[in-house]
Amino acid sequence: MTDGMAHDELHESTGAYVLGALTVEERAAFETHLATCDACREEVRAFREVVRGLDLAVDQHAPPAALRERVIASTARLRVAGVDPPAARRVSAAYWMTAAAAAAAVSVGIYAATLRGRVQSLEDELLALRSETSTLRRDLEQARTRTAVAERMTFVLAANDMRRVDLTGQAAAPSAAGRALWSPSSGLIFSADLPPAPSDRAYQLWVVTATGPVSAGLLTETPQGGLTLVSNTIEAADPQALAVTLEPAGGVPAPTGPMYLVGKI
Amino acid sequence: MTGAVPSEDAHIVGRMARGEASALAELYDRHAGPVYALGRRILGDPQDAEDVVQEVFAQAWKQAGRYDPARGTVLSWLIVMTRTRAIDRLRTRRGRLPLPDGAAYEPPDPGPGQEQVAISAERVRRLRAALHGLAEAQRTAIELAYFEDLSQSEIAARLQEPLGTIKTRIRTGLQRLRGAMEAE
Repeated sequence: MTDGMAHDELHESTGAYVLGALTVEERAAFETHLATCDACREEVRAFREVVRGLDLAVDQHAPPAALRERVIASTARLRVAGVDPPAARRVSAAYWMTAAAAAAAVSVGIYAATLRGRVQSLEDELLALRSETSTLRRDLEQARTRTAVAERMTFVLAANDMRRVDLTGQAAAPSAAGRALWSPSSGLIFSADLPPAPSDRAYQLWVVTATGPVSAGLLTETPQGGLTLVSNTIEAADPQALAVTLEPAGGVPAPTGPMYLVGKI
Repeated sequence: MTGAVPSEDAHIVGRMARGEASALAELYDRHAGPVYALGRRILGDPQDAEDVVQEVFAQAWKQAGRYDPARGTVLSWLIVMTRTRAIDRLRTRRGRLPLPDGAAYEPPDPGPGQEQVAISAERVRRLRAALHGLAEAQRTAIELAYFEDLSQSEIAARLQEPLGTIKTRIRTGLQRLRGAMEAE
């Protein structure tokens, strides 16, 4: 049953999970699902909050009056057996044996309770760690991308065929400017100052060759407001110039929009 | 009971740790009610519930020195012990191992570390009202799972309903409770 548990069925298990009504196998399957399902995780959290205090929300019954004395008396015996100073030491050996056995039984109980509390807190930790892991994984992805970009920039800057190309503003934006450090063998670093693109448009950089333009990719906005592009080697035989056009967001295979920047190589 | 000032409770437990018998009596007077009520709810039998109360206060006495206020209120500490002992008895009665045994695991009840915030009497009142506001079938399914330590399959067998129905009842019931508790 558990192996074939479909997603919907797993999703239905949030309540039973929080109330502890899943078998070990069902629970394992559900927790695997939980690691990748934000919706279930959110519901589990919310349900845990809901049941907080449920133990106290039961019908109240006053304990019988005689119970109080029994509790106090039995604890007094424990007190003599466990923690009391020398005055209590005149009790018989048999009493001590019984007391020791009772104490041992209590410690087993305590141990079980401790274990249980431990399991609970480990489960909470696991849940927290799982969500932390997915955040870390995202961060790692981003860090890898940034490292790859930085590496590419180093290759370009260190390449012996690296040259600088300055691009000047065209009719669409006469005061715009751009510059590229271009190495045919290693790639390209480009940055530009251009008017902000409308939300459904993007600037695209082209390497213009004798046979037509080849896309070098879309410019992305930096947090500082400029536009940049770092690209791998661009396959372009006999390059003549670099040009930037404004295109539909996502880019196009061949330029269709107005030209913003041009620079001769 | 629930509105008790935590620091006062903690102070009493501190006196217990130093061996003051009068402190135990004070703790009993403050909290025996909910301990007994929970024992009765889980075990059904008043005599068994009394035994649990006795065990819980004995354990509190012995462990008073290890009570850590940062991990939860005194009441929640007592309630966790009550729940554990009552469910152990229930499992023994059913011929199961007292420790998590493959049939059902310990519910993530308000345990230490999860309940630094004291549960107010007002919250308990609203929770009780919300529980009583549920459809009978939903409340029964939730209570069998939470208080009687039954797995969803066992609940389905006992109520002679399909497993899927039980799952949905539990989940829908908790969603309703959530709605009721988040309202206002």
